[in-house]
Amino acid sequence: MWASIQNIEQPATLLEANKLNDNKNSVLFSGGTYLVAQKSKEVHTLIDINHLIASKIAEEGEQISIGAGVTLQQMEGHFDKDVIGRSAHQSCYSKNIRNQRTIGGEIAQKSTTSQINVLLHAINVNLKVFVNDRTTEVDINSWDGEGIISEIVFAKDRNVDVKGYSVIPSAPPFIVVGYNYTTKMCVIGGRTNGFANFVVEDGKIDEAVEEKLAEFFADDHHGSCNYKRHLVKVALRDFTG
Amino acid sequence: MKVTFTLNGKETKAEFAPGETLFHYLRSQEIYSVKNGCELGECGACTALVDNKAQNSCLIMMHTVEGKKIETVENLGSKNNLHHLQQKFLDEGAVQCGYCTPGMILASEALLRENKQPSTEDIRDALAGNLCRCTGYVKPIKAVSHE
Repeated sequence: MWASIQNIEQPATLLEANKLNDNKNSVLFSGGTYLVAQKSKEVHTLIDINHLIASKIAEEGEQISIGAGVTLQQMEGHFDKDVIGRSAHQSCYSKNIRNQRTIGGEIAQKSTTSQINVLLHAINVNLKVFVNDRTTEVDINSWDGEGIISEIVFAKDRNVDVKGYSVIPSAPPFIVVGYNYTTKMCVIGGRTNGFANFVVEDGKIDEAVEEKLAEFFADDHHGSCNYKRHLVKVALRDFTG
Repeated sequence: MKVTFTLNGKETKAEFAPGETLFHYLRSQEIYSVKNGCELGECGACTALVDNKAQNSCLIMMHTVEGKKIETVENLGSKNNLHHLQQKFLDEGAVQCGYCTPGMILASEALLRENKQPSTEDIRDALAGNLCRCTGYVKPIKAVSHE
């Protein structure tokens, strides 16, 4: 029971949903796995947008578009052994939850422990986001978190990989490293405050990046900052050979 | 608020408070096979089938079940007429305290509906979201493997 909920709105359009979302104590609701688990007392109104966002994966020409309502399990089924299917699977150990958790929610919640989210940042996918009264396209690394994600778009031709480090396979990883072989962009997530991204040539991390990583990681029960930086280097060495 | 859906084969019209989850609704209808575990989506004790897919009912808001087909273990078998998966779990000794068992049976049933001959890896994956502190998973996996 989510006791603080007093009202559920089912707007007819995304424009209406955005307006409703301006109200304090409201939250946009799609898959809901993060929100219902948190059961925030601050939330009084759910704005259900399930019926307004696509839940299909379409491949047209050289482009793939994924509706924000597509579940992780759908992605795993569609992309199968591909790195996208694999990382969708590894983003959540429970198939029950993968049947519920949507890719739009994964991005909107800025989940840093989600391997698929790190991978999408490494690809630098475009998001179709409904802001104010229109849909705009913005790359995931530049998205400011405003608006409603309706679709994720990227080229079929991609050359990326992702690797996660966790205490046991079913635990959320404390470090996730994504790498784009084409742009040489490395994206790091995990038990971190946000994502770090930088360009890595030939698998070598320069001094500026070393400093950035030193600030990015903290010593905790998963290991020291130095240990985590070492794991990132190991991942990059594996990616770049 | 009101919603219409199919619950264990019967068309059901439910009235509920806005913040009510499917888990609470099912328990209020005396469907006690759906267990209260963590209410965080971590343990799978509250598993229900939603349109043939295993999902954690504690994370499902009631208003989202409109038009859906919801099933619990009560729909599979009864005390005097066990479902073959229930029988297999018994035969293999895959039931100890029994708290996670309804969730495990439903997760297994969902798997078998989409894949008649799952590999051990498929079974492990399907049951990974159903936490069990008694069996160690060996016997439940064996029970589903022998289907």
